[in-house]
Amino acid sequence: MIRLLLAVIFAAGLASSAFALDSSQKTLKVDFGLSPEGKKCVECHSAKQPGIVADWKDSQHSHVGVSCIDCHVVDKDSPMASQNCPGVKGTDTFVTVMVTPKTCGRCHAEQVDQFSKSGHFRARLQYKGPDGRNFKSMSALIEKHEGQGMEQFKNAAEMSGCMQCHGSVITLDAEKRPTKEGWPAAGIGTVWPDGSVGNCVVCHTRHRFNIAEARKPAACASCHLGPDHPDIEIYNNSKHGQIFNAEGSTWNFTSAPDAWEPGDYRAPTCAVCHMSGIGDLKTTHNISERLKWNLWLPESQLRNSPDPLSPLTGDGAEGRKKMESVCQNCHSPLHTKNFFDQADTTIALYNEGYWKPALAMSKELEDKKLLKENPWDDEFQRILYHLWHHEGRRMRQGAVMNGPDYAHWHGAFELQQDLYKLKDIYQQRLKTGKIED
Amino acid sequence: MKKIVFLIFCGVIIGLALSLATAEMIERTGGKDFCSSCHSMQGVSLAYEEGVHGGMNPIGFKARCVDCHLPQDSVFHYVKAKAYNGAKDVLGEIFWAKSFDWIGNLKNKEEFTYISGCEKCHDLKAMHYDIPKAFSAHKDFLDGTVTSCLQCHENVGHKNIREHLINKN
Repeated sequence: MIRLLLAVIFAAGLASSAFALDSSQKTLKVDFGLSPEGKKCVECHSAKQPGIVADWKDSQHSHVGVSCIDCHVVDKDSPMASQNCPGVKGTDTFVTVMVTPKTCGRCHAEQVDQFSKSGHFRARLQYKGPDGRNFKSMSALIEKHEGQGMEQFKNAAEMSGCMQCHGSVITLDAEKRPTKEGWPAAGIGTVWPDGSVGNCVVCHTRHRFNIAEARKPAACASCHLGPDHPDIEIYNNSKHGQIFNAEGSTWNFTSAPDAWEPGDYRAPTCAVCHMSGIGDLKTTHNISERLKWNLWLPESQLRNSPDPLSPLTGDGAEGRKKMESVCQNCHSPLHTKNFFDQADTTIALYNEGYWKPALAMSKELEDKKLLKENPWDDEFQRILYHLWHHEGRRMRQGAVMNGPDYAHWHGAFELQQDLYKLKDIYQQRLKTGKIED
Repeated sequence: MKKIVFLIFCGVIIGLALSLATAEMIERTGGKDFCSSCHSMQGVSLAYEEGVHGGMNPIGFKARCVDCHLPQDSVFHYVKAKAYNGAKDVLGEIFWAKSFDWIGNLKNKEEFTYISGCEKCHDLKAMHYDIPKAFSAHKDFLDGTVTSCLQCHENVGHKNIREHLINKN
């Protein structure tokens, strides 16, 4: 009899677990520090978007009781306020999918403030804002040339390309949802309907917002790559990258801000030099703060402006001092000085040896009406563009970040070839007085 | 001699009476009922009534207009700001209220909302690590990085203020 009873209980036990597994609703029950509304979001979305909730529960936010509603709730009179989520429809609660730097700044005010003084802040406003410096040429490139002048495709290249890194000006539909012209995009300089600028989740991807992730080169590499600013390639080419790639998987990336120091790592990642608190330096989210030169303009100049919208934002002399103090956590003053002397010499060579002569030829041809109106269909202007925008940046950025292959083979070597080609075309046009076919 | 004592006595009585009358006046002109008797204050008053500070809280506690919109650090500052605002608001109501950009003026809110008012009721130092969310959110204020409560609590005290300003002003 007892055996029979045990068998029945055992069978019932088995069956009940099967029922539990069959349940289609797998919700996460969390009671830690959350308001009733907050709990409701977590429970419902753990069934609908388990990936999001899985990220969140592994984040620092969940540890301190910051949940969905704390960042996604907005005032009813916010330009982004909506009730598209059935969980809040008809209630007093208004939410949005858009979490802006203004929201992050409620708890991370200092970080948002530093970011707002950095070159990252101008990422979108610069490349294609109606009052930006390149608006006309960028619109023409994207719409007329890359979009082939077809009305229905005029934003295509921008949507899948430019704005994914630079950011977009987000526009809303009638239901206050972001339209495809600006969303989704992981652009650092996103301009939001509430007027704030920036995008914290570019480096601290949602919804884990992991500090360790932002400290690894991969966080920067999703934008800082390719022919025009191959920064991750330069890093991998450098001795710093070699050491990171060889043994970075064993390093400690989770120390507190300002306490992440040599010893946690054996070589710097992008973040160590450009942002992290190291030695006497404080952590900063202003990535322009430790820079001397602008290395992406046609001509490199010293940084000298407090305005984040200026290409020369920052203080060049101060910036170099700060970067030298980063280096000296691991290198002697002589090593540091000589390294930067090498880099500065290369930058000066680019300015004097390549950009200035190329610009002089270009100006003369322009004066003599020997440049085509369409720069993308003119061999001289195409080469000139590649000279500064691709090869010239590779040479300069390769030099300051110790990527010899980029400083030389993808840089200086190609530049001298460019300049010979430009001289040929220039002399030909001056001789014949017309643009070759 | 007797005359002098009598005069001093009268002076004290008159002074006391005047002080009491002034205090009574200051007290009676500090709440919603008085402030919203001006037409231009209808919108902010409705928004106030909808908010936590206007009584929409479990206890039903109501902050008064002057609790937030006058400095609370000293009686002198309080009275000085009240006199200045009183004069300005009366003139404003008569001459400029209709053409004034009420919504645009929200961006100047730190000029007419006083942190000393917030601090009179909210003691941030009492916020400990045992409420981690609240502690994290306010640490930047405690260390001086954020200087005004309004930086994050944007329209505190007046719920849906834009909507009410559009409807009423």
